[in-house]
Order: sequence, then C-alpha cells, then structure tokens
Amino acid sequence: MLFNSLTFLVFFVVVLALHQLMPTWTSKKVVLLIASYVFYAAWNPPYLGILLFSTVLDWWLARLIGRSDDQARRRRLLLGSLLVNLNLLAFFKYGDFLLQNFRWMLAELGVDYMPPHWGIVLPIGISFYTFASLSYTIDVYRREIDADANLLDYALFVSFFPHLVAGPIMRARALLPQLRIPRQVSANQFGWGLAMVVLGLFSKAVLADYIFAPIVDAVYAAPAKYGAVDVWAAVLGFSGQIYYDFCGYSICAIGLALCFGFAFPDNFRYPYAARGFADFWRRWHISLSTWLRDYLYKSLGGNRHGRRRTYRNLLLTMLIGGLWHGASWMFVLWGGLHGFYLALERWVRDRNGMQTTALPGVLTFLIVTLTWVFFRAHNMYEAAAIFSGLFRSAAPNHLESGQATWCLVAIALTLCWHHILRERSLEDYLGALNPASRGAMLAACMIAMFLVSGGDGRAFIYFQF
Amino acid sequence: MPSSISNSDIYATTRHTARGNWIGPLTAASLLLIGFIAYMEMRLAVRGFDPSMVDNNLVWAEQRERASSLGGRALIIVGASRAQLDLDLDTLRLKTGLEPVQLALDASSILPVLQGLADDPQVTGTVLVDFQASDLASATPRGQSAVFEASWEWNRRALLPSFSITEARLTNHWRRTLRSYADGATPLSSLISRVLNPHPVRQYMLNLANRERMADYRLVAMPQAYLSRVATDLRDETGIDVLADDQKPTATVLEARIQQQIGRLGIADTSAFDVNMKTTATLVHRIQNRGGKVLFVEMPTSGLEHDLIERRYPRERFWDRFLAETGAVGLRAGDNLQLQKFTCPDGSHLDYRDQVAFTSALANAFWPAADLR
Repeated sequence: MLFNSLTFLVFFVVVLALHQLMPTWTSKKVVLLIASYVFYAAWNPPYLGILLFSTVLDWWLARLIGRSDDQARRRRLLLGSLLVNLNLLAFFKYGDFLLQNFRWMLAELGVDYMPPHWGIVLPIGISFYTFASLSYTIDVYRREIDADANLLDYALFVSFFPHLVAGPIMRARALLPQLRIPRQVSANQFGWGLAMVVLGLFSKAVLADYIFAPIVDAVYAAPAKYGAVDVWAAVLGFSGQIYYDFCGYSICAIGLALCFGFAFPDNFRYPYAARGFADFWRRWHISLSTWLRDYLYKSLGGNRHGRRRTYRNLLLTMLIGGLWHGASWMFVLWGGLHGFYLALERWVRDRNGMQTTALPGVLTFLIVTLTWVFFRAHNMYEAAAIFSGLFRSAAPNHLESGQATWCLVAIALTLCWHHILRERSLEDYLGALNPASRGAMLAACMIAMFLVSGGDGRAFIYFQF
Repeated sequence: MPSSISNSDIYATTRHTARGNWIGPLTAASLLLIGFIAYMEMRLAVRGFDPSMVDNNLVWAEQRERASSLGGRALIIVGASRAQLDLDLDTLRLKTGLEPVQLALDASSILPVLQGLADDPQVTGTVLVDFQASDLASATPRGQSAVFEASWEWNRRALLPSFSITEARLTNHWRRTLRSYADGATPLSSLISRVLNPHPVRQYMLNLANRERMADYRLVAMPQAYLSRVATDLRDETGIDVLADDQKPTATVLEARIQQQIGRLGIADTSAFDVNMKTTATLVHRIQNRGGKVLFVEMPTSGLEHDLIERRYPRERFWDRFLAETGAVGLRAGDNLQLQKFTCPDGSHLDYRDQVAFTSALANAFWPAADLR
C-alpha cells in the first residue's frame, strides 16, 4: 500500500477513527498493530509470516539476553539473533545475487554450472525492519536498554506502519518508551502532522515523479541518443528525484506518526547543503547512517585503533551500506566510493590538523551527484554511457521542449533552498509563516498534486531496498 | 542548529512541531482545492467535455468475469478498437436476446483472449470475433490482451483481494466521475489545453462503463485526422513513414504520397498467419465442442485504409482460407449489401451516429436463420 494512493487515504481515515474510538491505551495499540499488519499484508500476505517470525524471535532472544549474566551465553544469544535475521535478509535479498556470482566464479574456473532459477520475491521493507529489530537485541546485549518490553509494544515498534517499509529506521530506545505511556495529540500537533503528509506527498508526486523522473527515465533508457545538456539534466535530475522521493516518504511517515502522537526523528536535513562527505552523511538518510555508525563502524573499532584502521572501517562500513541498498555490484561501488571519499576527507583532516572539513557545498553536491550515476545505472556500461554523454555535443534526440529547463531550474532552487535553510529546521521556518501563507502554501501543494494526478502512479524508490 | 528546534536526535521521544495553528490553514486549503476542482469541472462541462471511463485491466477483468459467469447467455465480443467503436451493445442485446460482453481491446491481438476463453470451461456462450488479417499475420501478439488475460487469471486465483485491485477500483471510480480526466487526460493537460486554451480540441471520444466507445467525428479536423490514421497504419504495417521528411505536408500532398505507397505494396507474408490460423481453428473447435458458438466478422473500412487492407491482405489469400480452415461462420462487411453502405470517417471506425444502424444490420445479417440463442 503506497502513501500516495487512494487506498491508503481510506485506510488512514479508518485506522485514525478506530484509534480514537478505543477506550484504553492497550486497545489503541492493538488497533495500530492490526492496522500495521494489514498495511504490510496488502502487498503480499504470505510474507507477513517472516515479519511475525522475526519479531517474536528477537523479542524472545532479547529477553533471554536481558535475564542472563553469563557473558558467553549472552553473546551466543545475540549471535543467534544476528544469524537468523541476517540469513533471512541474505536469502531473500541476496539469494539470487549470490547464486549468480557463484556461477560466474565457477565459470572462471572452467566449470559450467547453471543454477536453478529461484525467482525469490523480495519481502518489502525487510532491510528496514530487520535493522530496527536488530537495534533492540544489540542495545540489550550492550546493556544500553532493558529487555522489558512486552510483546505487543515490541511488535508495534517493529511493524508500526508509517516506518515499516521504508523507514526512518527506528531505534528501540526511541520508540519503545513512547509506547509505554499513552500519547496525547494536541490539535496543532495533529494539524502539523497532516501538513507534513501534504508536503511529503507533494515532494513525491509533483517534484520527484512529475518534474524529475520522466527526464531521468528517458535519458537513462538510451543515453547514447542524448546530448550533454539533456544528460546533465538527467544526472542532476536524479539527485532531485531520489531526494524528493525518499525525503517525501520520510516526511509523510513522520507526519503520520505525529497524527497518532508518536515522535519520529528527521531522516534528512538539507543534504545538498553539505560541506564535505561526513557532513553529507549527517544529513542524508540519517537513520541509516547513524545505524551503520553505531552498530557497524563502532563494532569494527571505529576510530579507536589508529588512522589506517579508521580508514579501513570507513570503507568497510560504506561498502556494506551500499550493499544494504540492493543486491548489485553497482550499489557496492556506490557505497565504496562514498567510503573512499570519507576516508580521503578524514586523511586530509588528519594531515592538516583541521577541525572541520571545508569542502565547498557546491563541489560536494557535484561529486555526490556524479556518484549517484552508479546508483541509478543498472551496470557499468550504462554508467559509462552516461558519463560519456556529459561531454557529447551533438545528439539525434532531444528532450521535449522545456523539460530539461524545468529540471535544471528545479534543482537550482533545491540547492538554494538547502543552503538557505542549512541551519534551520522545517518546523522553525514554516512556523514563522502567518496563517494565510500557510493556507496558500498547502492549497498550492494540494492543487499541484491534483493537476499531476492520473499518471502511472510510481512506487517510492526506497521500497525496493 | 539549536537543539531546541532540532528533530535530528535519533533517540528523541518528543518532536518539535511548527508553532501555531495548522488545522485552520489545512481546512482553508482543502476548500480551495475543492473550489478549484469545481471550477475546472464547470468550465469543462460548459465546453462540452464529459467524464469518460479510463480503460484498464480492472475494467476489462470485470467484463471477463461476466463472460465466464453468464454461460450460454453471453455474447462475448473479442477484437480491437473497431469492435469497440462500431458495435452498440444495447442493440445487440435487443436483437439477439443475449447479454453482450465487450472484451475488445484497442490495438490488441485476439489470440490471447480466445485462448483464455477456450481454456475456460465456463465459457459456453457465443463469441463474436472482430477479424483482422493483419493481427493474425503478426508473429507476436500485439497490445495488452495477453497481459490483461494473464492478470485476470492471476487475480481470479488469489485468495485475498490485492492492493492493486482495490486501488484500481477506487481510481477508476474517481476518474470516471470527473471531466478533468476525460479521454485519459491528466487534470494539468485538461487545464492547459481545454480550460485555458480559447480554442480547445473538442472531446470526440467517449468510453462507456461497459467498455463500448463512441466517436463523434464531426468534432475532428478532416481530412487531416483520416490521412494521419492511414499514414500511421501504413507505417505500422510496412515501416514506410510518409511523414518522415516533412512534418506538415498539405492534405493533397499527403494523400498522393499514401496512394503512391499503397500502389507499390505487395501481399503480406502468410507464414505467421498460417500458424495463427491453425491455432485459431483449434480454439474455435474447443469452444464449439462444449456448446459455444464462434462467429467472425470483418468490420467495414473505407478509402485509403480499405485500399491498404485489400492490397496487403487479399480475401482469397487470407479471409477465404481462414474460414475454410476454421470452419467457422464468418461475415465480411464488404460482401454484405446492408453493411457496405457504412463509411468510416477516419477510414477505420464508424461515427457513433452509425453505431445502432450498423449493429442492427449486422445482427440481421448474422442472426435471422442461425440458431444462436
């Protein structure tokens, strides 16, 4: 079920009404849990079983870890949780990929092996809820939280529908305490939550899908046919598309949770105003980058074992972060490049003794944008065709008149917007508007969404991860 | 950013909200949206636009389900746009006593649908097939018919209603209610080309809920639309693009070019047709064996479109052999005195004013002696 669908609108209204009608906090949570499972099952009912299995297992293992004082036993239990969750992820997300790579490896050795076609369908959101669930068992193991959550609260923490399929990746430490105490929602909180949903849907439907996606799709489908201006528009356009698509989803998720009284953290903070790559990752997909920092980078030793180990850890963390996005060497390459940038930036900083990185924002944006090519392209040939197109003067095809201009103007405005609000929050900025301006802004967003409706109804990009 | 206004702490259990009232602005914005939609709908109504069903796999699936459930009472129409635009379902119902089911799909092949009907033991009614030699001469099925048939079959077996079906149902209802979506337009294109444009292109096509379509060719610029259709069909058929070197030739020049190209055309290759003809024969026999009936009709064509078809698919090499191979009942509009007199304004389809008369004449030609009920 997509946030930008009429079905979701009906679903949300029904769930909100039932939630309000329930007399007790426990019954409200039961409504939200059932609704979350319906939300998930709307996509593929049998895969609800994986979510239930993962939920019950991690809750049970965390309780055993919490009760035990035997460090070896605690470690074995944590290992059990990690093995089961990561194996589920490996099988469903990387099964075909691993098999194909195994086949290529054998072929290099002269063995002709044709693996069976498994046709595995990726359970939607498995990367997100697996990471959310693991944060609980690891935090309990590290004694950072108690394993005292009841199964209802824990199940709702893992599966609460606003964050279930595409994040933000919630931490048990943030959401479980909110589930213990009945949430009160003020009229202004509720109104601001709905306003965020409108802004998020506008980002998705109008900016990502209408302004950027058609150009990106057209040029990436046949890069050799287009000249430099169109290819640049597509490359810059993908920066806009992926930002508005994913940020739009996150804003919707935060707004929906707020309507029920729950606080989700920001997932984006004007990433295209970042000055340097460490700064970029503090602003882009914050819930993933902090997860990787806390549970992977620090587990590898972080920056505690000398410079070389730090650079290695940065590279490894980003390589795995890249692979998290999907079973493709292109994602690994994209993650590896970001790991390299982070390590290089750190090296420059260590060498010059600088306290902060001062890579100009526009240069950071340009490098990030060019690196997105590896993320968007299906293979190296496609990526190479895009890069060569950036310098092609003549081409047989042109995008429809005005398309490239619209795209370039939109990305320029995005950059300005990010730099202006670099140190401010959306709440701070929009809270300063008078009621008439608020109404006009929301009306413009709603009317724009209506005007571009009736197209092909794209899913959110991050659903596939 | 001061922590007092930051929401970036991943462990935070509270969230700062934008201060002030947001319910009032949201309500005002919703009213403005409703007002805007109402304004567009009124302007479109004044300019003669009507809500129109948007054809898709869900709408088709509803009719496909009827084809199964109606059993022997069903008159199932299979074909492409000619069957949708030329036939009036009410007239068919009146004339035959059967319940018409419109399964024709724009620019799509008949074989995937015929295959599905032959595979479905519940289909025991009458199947009226819009025969086009060019369709059967194609090595691979064209259009959406294979996808729609497979999608119907998949959803039929599903235990629970899927999200996509529910969404399609809601979307269809919403779009068939508003003029802003007429003819499959987006509201933005309706606003630009129909509301703000002082001389909008009139809506000439209406899609009805039963998947029948009605075209008012008086609203279309002629002969440009007619020549454009023939040029497109010529290009699709042979790869010859008479518009390639000059995007805006005069009608006279374009007509001469098309005539010249048609005059040079040879007979289409029959290898794929022969294979598909045998497959069709098998499917027809399977339907007939369980009590069903299959009728083939070649719809009328006019002008250069007619010349193109006659040149590429002469009856003795295609139609006559097809009827002999399948043993099915067939009727060629060009052979029937009552059906001959109908003219297709765009060369390929009838105007909606001729629908009832044509359907009536077709029913009279097919049904008087045949024991079809």
